Amino acid sequence: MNSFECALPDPWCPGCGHHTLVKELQSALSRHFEPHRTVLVTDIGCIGMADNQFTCHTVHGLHGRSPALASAIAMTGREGFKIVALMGDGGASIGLSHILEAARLNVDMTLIISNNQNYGMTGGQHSAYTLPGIVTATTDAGYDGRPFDIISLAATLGVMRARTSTGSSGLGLVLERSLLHRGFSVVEVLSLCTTYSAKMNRETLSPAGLEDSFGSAGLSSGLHEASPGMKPFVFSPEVRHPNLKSIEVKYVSPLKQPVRIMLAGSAGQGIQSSAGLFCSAAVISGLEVDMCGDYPVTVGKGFSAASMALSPDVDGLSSSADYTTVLITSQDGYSYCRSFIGGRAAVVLERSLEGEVSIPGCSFAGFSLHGRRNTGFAAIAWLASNSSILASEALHEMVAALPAGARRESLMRIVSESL
Amino acid sequence: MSERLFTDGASLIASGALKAGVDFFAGYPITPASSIYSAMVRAGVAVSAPDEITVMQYLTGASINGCRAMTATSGPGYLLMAEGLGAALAMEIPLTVVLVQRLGPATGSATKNAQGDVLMAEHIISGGFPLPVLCPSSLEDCHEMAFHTVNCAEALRTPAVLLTEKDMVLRKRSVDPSLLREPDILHRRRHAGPPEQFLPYGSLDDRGVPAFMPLDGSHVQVRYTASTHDEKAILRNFSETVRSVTERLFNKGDLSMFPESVKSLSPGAEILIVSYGFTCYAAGAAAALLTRSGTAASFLGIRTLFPVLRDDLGSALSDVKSVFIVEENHTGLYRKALLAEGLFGGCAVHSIAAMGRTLTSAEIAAVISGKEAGRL
Repeated sequence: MNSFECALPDPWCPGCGHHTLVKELQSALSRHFEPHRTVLVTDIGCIGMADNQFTCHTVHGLHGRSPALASAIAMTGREGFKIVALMGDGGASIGLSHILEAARLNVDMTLIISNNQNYGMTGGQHSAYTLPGIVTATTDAGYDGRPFDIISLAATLGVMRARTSTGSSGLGLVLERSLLHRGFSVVEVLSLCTTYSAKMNRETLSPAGLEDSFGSAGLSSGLHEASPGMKPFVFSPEVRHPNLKSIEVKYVSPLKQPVRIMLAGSAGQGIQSSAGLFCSAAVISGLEVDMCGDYPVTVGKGFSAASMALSPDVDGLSSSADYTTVLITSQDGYSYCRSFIGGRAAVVLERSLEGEVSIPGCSFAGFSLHGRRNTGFAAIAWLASNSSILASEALHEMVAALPAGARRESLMRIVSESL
Repeated sequence: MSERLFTDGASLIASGALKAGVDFFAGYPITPASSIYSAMVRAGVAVSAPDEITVMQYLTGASINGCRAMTATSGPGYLLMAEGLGAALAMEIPLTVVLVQRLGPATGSATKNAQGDVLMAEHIISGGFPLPVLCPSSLEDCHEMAFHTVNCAEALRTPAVLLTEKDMVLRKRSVDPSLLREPDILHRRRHAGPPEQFLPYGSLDDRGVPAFMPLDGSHVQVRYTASTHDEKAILRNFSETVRSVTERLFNKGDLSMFPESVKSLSPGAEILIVSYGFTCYAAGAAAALLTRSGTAASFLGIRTLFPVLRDDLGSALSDVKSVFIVEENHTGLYRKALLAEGLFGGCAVHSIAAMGRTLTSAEIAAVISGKEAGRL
């Protein structure tokens, strides 16, 4: 026995190609690797039971997921470990995207697909790798479709790839070269299921002629090196703890009762950032604050709205769903909130909406645009100077704390004009 | 003068998780959980996955290497993670999933708050095997509960869920930084005996959790198996040995390691308001409102949804005659789980439930006043 062989009895039917493949894989591994520095990842299907046959570390996971699981073991593992995933053609059907992703990233691992033309564990149904003409439990007249060519797919990603069969005298060498490659390598091995596919296809599938069967379907055998210059994927974390920046409460707000304010406008009017500035100013004024933004998932078009609750105490933030003040800066904003404004809310509209909308009791001409980008801020600057919510210096201070530049200058000007 | 943060739950969950040692995050974007993914990218610990099925495989593989692994998703993504959660539970792989609820079913309404995943979070594993499900009751709590969830996953070698919701994660609020607590860090126990005595599912601690063996090049074979297995992790058909290994998965841990509820108990109160998640803000305020208006009411915000901490809840029930369970889903889902525990004795148990809108304290207090007026 070589160093990778295990004394446990193997589970496979007499004559099954998995015997040959596993023996050759154990042999190839033993020539170059150590079991305690090798991880074999298998999944579901007859070949998935191979883990019991190995003395290296093994992980027996879910159907078709072994390339993804092996990818993570490879990308977070120690230097000098060999990671091998072993799956069947059924697993390679359900898990095709995992194979392509591991190849796309060029994860440092070897994937071996034992393609015995059917799902042997569930009664011999055809898979996405079954060759044309092959009779299976689900293709009794011979499969009339076409198979995935995993080697061509791998070629588009530039990774090392090989196709061979359990009948090939070069199987061990192909496995060895693939295992020694640094980066992703995939080997498709055509094999025989003696219980189903071999019995049903005596004319077309024989141990000696397996590669011819691939060839007849236009799937050539052979090994292809990876494209030059490909680097294996490496995960190298550098933990950077987030800077939760606190702000000092230095003022006293005149507010005695909770208020709820809606600022509703359009994408591009600075609604969210302006509401954020107002809320930050409320925080340094000693208020409890809750802000909730709302906008379409496409973000850059349509309405943009911010709901702000401000209260002397936390409980006041959840006391009511009714707005005390609604600021509307565009037709989008009006359309967004017209179903719930009214009642006791004071509705303030941007000047140019006068005549466009009709709300009983609303006031107009509260503020002017100051350019599209600054519209939201013009609204909250107006609110700051026409309500008793913020400490008088608070909004100015939050604007002054912004990074220097044109935006800060415009906002400073608007604050000064509104006071 | 005091200090405040003006921040959201996503930032606080990320911060708490990182403090708890999370060093691997696999992300797939989904509203309203994406900002946690973004925070973990900024923290330098994230890889992107092409789908949530892959996310679970990445977390599993990283955890096998000893990483403290985490992801964040919402309902649709969580359903895709179902098979991986079951496998991680069976293989006893520590990992943390932050499940940020939004309105379902299916893709539902991605930006609408909801608490509709509370039973799905727990009952996603075939056979009813338990997943710890923790839940922050405030923004400050996001930090501590993220920490606790990672701790539970590691100490119990299990997938663990931090259940929260869109309002908690995306709303920005004034937050008191002095309340951002950090529990003691818990690690998975490593195999300490002679390597040849290591059994992947055999060397148990007093919580019934097997010792962990990293893939560090030691001369000892490490095996994991998601299918039914024996103590050596060899796949086996169901037998008495397999039954013993499998049954143990129901009984890992001790209840003392799970965070108790936050409570605001009014002496002699006959009304107890129970809630969880962001709804605790309105429910807690409703209890205060009722008490101020002369009807004493206590409040209990549950932070360990599963396992149900019976003693923790029971301790708040002494004088209580009416229990109101407040949650944002259509049928009062968590109420069903609590009723199944049979711990309310002779109390009348009511549901205050709403789908697709945020409950307010005034509304909750009005419903309770109405019910109580009817009772009297």
